[in-house]
This record gives sequence, structure tokens and C-alpha cells, in this order.
Amino acid sequence: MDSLYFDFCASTPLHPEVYDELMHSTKQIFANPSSVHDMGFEANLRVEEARERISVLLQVMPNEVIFTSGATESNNLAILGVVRAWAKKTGQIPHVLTTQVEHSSVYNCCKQLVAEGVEVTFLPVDRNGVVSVSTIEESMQPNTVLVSVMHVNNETGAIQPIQEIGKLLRNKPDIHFHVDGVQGFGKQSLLIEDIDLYTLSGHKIGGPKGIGLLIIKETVELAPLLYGGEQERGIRPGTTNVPGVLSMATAIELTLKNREETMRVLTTLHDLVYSKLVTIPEIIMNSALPPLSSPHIINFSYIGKGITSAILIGILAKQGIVVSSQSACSSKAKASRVLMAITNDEMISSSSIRLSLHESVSLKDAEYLLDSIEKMVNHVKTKNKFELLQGV
Amino acid sequence: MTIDHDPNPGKLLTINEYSDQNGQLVQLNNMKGPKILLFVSMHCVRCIELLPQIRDLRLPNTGVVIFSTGDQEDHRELDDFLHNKWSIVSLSPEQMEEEFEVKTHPFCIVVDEYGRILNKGNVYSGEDVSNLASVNGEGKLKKLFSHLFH
Repeated sequence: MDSLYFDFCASTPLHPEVYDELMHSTKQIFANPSSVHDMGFEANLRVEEARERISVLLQVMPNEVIFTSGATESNNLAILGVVRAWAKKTGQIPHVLTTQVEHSSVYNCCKQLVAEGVEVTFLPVDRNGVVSVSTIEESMQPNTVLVSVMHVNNETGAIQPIQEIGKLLRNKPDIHFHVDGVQGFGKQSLLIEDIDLYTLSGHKIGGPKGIGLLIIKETVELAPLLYGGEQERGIRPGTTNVPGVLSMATAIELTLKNREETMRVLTTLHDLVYSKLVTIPEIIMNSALPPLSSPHIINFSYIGKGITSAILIGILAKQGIVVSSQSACSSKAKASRVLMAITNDEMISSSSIRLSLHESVSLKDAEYLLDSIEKMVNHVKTKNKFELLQGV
Repeated sequence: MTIDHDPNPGKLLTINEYSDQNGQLVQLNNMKGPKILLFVSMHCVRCIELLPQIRDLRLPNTGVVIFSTGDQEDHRELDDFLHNKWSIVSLSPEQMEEEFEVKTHPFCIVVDEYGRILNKGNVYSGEDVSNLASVNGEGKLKKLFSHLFH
């Protein structure tokens, strides 16, 4: 049975043009761009061209584009880098504002800061998963150095009021604003004019794994996480991933070029799937409707009886449907932290399914997905939970 | 299956005592005969897939204890499913790691009649459990568990 993949928030297939770029550059441009010989010079030229292309597309300065290994590194670099630079400069304990629903690469990074004695406020969100701008304003302290809020939530698709938070912070130059833009890029428009640090990942937008970037505005003082050579202005030393950089530039170009058509397809798919799911009594929707949520993510929970996400994912997998929840198999995952923050309901948070859509998904595929979910619900109602993965 | 051959075979099990789904005391070191300890998470699809295969294993004279992250309702349902034949102990993932060094699921520890750990590793099928019980240089466990499959 061929699988139908609905886990595009976890990773996307390489765009064909990105694939060509990746293959070509991997084969042809293997020299180290930091080397002084002609081949190194040529590789460096291509990297700088890519940086320039990205900077134009994102409307930032080329020297504000820093390539990393991916979003986790970018988020860690943004948060730890700002906090440590400020602490070193002032000798004081910094304060960070973030939310309870951030991706683990932000959330756990902030938890680590707490363990190191940094003050961190994890702000609550409403039933739609959205943080309040006034709560952010009220939570600011004299030692607040960073506000880190994701653009689009990776589990529910909730869209945070990034422009409004940016406006709030515009006149507070001592507080830097970091946005994890991984799930929002190419889906929701965003001006990064009022954002000081902005994270992107290659493999979420049709690029390869192992490449990401962090926009660091010139006004931001940031301590590196690694020490070594002078690559990426010394902020991120290490041999440059040339094929990754070139591929990421192409992926960003294509994502922005195709954004309108992508969103048209995603909205059609979303409306079809959401409108059907909402009629199934045993299902509760965890994603709000657009414009509060991005149409490429639909999160729901099964509330009929105590069934975990793992079982539901397993039943769908038997029908060839690939989805996820917050948790990976063979992990120590429990209830979704994000859904607990939104609902405070253990059952809802333990039985969630995240569907993430892509422009390559056809309406026929979406209809098969819906049929499979209906079968899953009927199957769950009639069997012992430990027999559920048999005879689907 | 990944087998973690203990470099020091014979390491003794924890002396901790547990309470099973019926409130009965489970003392691992006082159980007679060889033992299979199976660690599962209700949030792990491979664990849920494994349980029917474990139920169908023939295990005379072998103690089986299932350590699970489930709640009371899960364990009532699991007990029915397993025909009430084995102890089910509720344990958090953190306790599994702390007390048994179990970091991923599903995981199995094979113990001899003296409470010594002989083998451990991830298992994804009934056959994996059988193999884990059989993979032992001495051949002793192989003999002990030869009745698992026919």
C-alpha cells in the first residue's frame, strides 16, 4: 500500500529545482569556501550570492543573514546568544519573555536558562492558542532583554500577533524580539521590519535538512555558541554547508514565488478537511479557524474514550495514512505540552492528531484521509484499545 | 531489535517493590524462575502493536511483569486483554529510566531465577522477545525459554 503523507510540518519533500541545485552543487562545488585558492574563492562567491538573494527576499542586509545547521540551532543561538551577551555586558540577571506553546527548541532552551539562574516568564495563551499582546506588555521587567514568540504554532497552526508585538517593542531598543518563523514562512505574510532575530529552517520549505538560518539585525549584540573560525562573521564558525546554503536560497525563492498559489490550494484542502471533521461527534478541534490559525495545520483530538495519539496514529498508518501528534514513537512523550497549555485537559492533550497539509496533496487524497479518519473513529468505538491495531 | 549485551552479566535487579493492577505486591527478586520484564508506553504505537503478540506467547514457568505508563483504566483494559495472567505495574517513563535504565520503548529485560539481568534491549515483536531471551552465550537461557515458540 502506498502511503499518503500528511506530516508536512515535520518535513517536506525537496522541491525538484532544489533537488537539482543540491545535486549539482554537491558534485561541483566541493571546495571549502574559506580556502584561499580559486576553487575556494568560487565556492565563497556562490555562498555570498545566495546570502544576497536571501537578504533581498527577506528585506534585510546581507550581513544580517547567518547560516546555521537548522532551526534548533538558530533558536538556541538567538536566545542563548542574546541572554549571555547581555549578562556578560551588564553583570545582571536577564529576564526573557516567551510563551508556554513554543517549539521545544525554544521552550527547552528557556528551561535551561532557568536552570542557569536566568529569569524566564512562560506566558499563557487563550483557547485558540494565541498569546495576548497586553499580557506581554504587562510582563515586561526592567531586566527584560528578549521576547521570543513563534509565528505559527507547529502543533495547532495558531498564528501569534507578531506584527503587534513588534510594534509594542519598536520603541524599546533594549528588548530584542525573536521570532521562530519555521511554520509560518511562505504561508502567512510577515514583515520582519520590527523583528530583531528571525529563524528559518530549510527542510520545512522544500529545502534539505541540515541547513537553516538566523536573521540577526545589526543592532543585536549576540554571543556565539561555538568558537572557531571566522565563518558567518564569527557568530557561527564551522565549514559552510555550501550545497545547503545554495539549496536554501532556491527553496526560499520558490516558496515566496509560489506563495499565493500554495495558499489557494491549502485553503481549499483545509476547508474540505476541517468542515468534515467538525461534524464527527467523537472529535474535538484543537485548531482554530483561519485567520486565527494557518490552513496548513489541522489539529484534533479523539474524545470518545481514553485513547492515546499513538494508537490513533497506528490505526491510520494501517490504512496508509501518515500523520503525527506532538509525540514521536519510542519516546517519553506524554500529553502534549502545547495542548495542555491551551486546554488544560489531559484527555484532549493525550489523544491529538496533527494533520499538516502541502500544496502537492490532491482533493482525492484529502477525501481518502477523511474516509480513513471516519473508519478510525468507528473502529475505536467498537474494540478494546489493545486490539485496535489488529484487523483495521 | 537492539540487544544491549550487558558487559557485566549477572547484575542484580532493583530491590524496589511495586504494586500491580490488583494491589498485589510485586517483588522482582522473590519471583520464582526466569522473568521477562516488559516496559511499554501508552504513547508508543510500537508498544501497542507488541502487546497482542506478547499475549500469544506460551510462557509456562516464566514470570512476566509489564511495566506500563498507563493509568488505572488502561491497565484494567490491558489486564482483560491479557486474560488476567500477568502483573501490570504502573511506572512513569522517568521511573523506568531511573530504576531500570529504560530510555526507549518497547523495552525488555530478561532475568534469571536469581534476579540477575541476562539480556535487555528494544523489542518490536514476540519473536524479538523470544530472541532476546535466547541470545545468551551460556545457552542456559535458550534452554529455559525454548518453550516460547514451537
